[in-house]
Amino acid sequence: MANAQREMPVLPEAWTWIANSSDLDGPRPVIPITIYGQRLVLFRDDEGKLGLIERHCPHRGADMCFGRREDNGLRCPFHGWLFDRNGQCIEQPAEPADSTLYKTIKLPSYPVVEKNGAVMAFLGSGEPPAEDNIA
Amino acid sequence: MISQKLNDQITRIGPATPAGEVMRRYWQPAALSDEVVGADPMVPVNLMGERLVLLRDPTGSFVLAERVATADEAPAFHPDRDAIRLVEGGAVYPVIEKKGVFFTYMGPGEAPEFPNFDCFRAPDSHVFAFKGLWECNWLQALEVGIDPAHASFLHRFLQDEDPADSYGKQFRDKAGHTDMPMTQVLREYPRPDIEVEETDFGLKITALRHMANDLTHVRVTNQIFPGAICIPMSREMTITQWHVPVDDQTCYWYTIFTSFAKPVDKELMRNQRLKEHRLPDYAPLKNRENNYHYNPEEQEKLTYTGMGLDINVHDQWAVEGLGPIQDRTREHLGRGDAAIVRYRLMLRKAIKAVETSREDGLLMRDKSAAAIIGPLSNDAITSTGNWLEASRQADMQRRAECPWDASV
Repeated sequence: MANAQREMPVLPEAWTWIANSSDLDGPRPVIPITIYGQRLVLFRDDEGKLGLIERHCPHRGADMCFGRREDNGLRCPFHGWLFDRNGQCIEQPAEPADSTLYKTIKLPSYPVVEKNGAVMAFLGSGEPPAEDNIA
Repeated sequence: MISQKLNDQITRIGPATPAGEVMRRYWQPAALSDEVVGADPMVPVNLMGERLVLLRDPTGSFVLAERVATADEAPAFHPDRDAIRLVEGGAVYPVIEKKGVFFTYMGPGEAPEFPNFDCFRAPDSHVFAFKGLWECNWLQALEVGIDPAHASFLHRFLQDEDPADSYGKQFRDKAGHTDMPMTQVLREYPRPDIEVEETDFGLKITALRHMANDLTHVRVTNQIFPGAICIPMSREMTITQWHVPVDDQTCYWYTIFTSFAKPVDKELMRNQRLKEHRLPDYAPLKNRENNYHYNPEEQEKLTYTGMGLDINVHDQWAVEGLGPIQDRTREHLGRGDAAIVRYRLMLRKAIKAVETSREDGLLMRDKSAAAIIGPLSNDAITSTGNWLEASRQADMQRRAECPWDASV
């Protein structure tokens, strides 16, 4: 529910397991992640890097879990807004060609690492702890 | 972005809510004629947060009467006939059947006149009505219909099919008088200029797609206040569609398909749509529970969504995915959302008019509503310098060749 999303839960200040690398083995590596009340989407881009970004498009709120994985990012099927793995909007193909609105749009995103087949995310504030600390 | 307070004000529709009071001042679709069978019908109707039943009163006239309901009933619940109990002394609302739809008036005072739109003016042979259930607030359902840019993405077909197979389907005809399929125009020209103007019925929305060789694709659609749209479906037909609240988190679309030249093939249109819905609640068979039959391979090769060729499903996914009531405190509207912005201002103005008892300012509430005709709703490809007049002429030609009086 919309209101529940805004009640910020306490997020762990440590690397947290969110998925297994094998969850992304299929032909379309895009999966929903719901953790600590955050509705997120995890995807692998064309460079093989992972992105963990908020699930709903910042335009009108469409569900990016059904996004098109293309052009090294995740594209919303509603109006084609394209986001890179850091959540930065890099294209708004329905807006006028001279529009620079996209530069101001960034989805919340979280650092992600893969270690021993596990996908770990840092959901806390500030800098994540060293990856060596991952058990 | 808008505040939570404003979002509540423009989305909530129960009795005595600001937007609910505006909606109640207009005729709203309550049931399809297809649902009303037999000499003594009792059709459950769930509308505007109220639990009702459509039946004949002792004089034989159709009315909507309040029925007894429990708090845990599903939003579109259809109790068995034997289980229906009327609330003694409960609300009773007037009903009028028009072109395959039973409309009701749930507001105070006298009901307004019906505008003389094409869908009401066409003979019964040239109209067909259907409905479908969406699990979301009515306003986000309406807003996708006044957003001309989304068709270039959400409804994108990566390959064009033969327009000869397009009967009864949206966006599958040829564009204007060219041989170019509409799907190609939408795909190749995704950044429409959007012009919005207020009219005596709501908004006229013009999407201009400037093409090669000094040609422009002109698509004219309309918002009919408060909850409807009128848009072209094909060169032959228009869609007049109401987004009607069941409750705050559920709505029905009701569409009257209106044909200009030829009578509607109702059996084909009905069968196309019954195949995609279940009865008695007209819930779509592709839905959130089964991921709208999403197919990643299809999304890669054939459609933008991977959810099949029926554009109704694309719209349903888009609007239901925004949540039960879209959280507009997080939205970022662009220039492509011009009509949405203008519509919300109109709705807020109407809310204010009702709250301050200055209802003269409400659209289509006085006798002159009956004189409103049209609206023009059309796709055309014209020379860029002359698009306004050429778009009008294209619609006039269709109206002139039509066997019923569609003159404007």
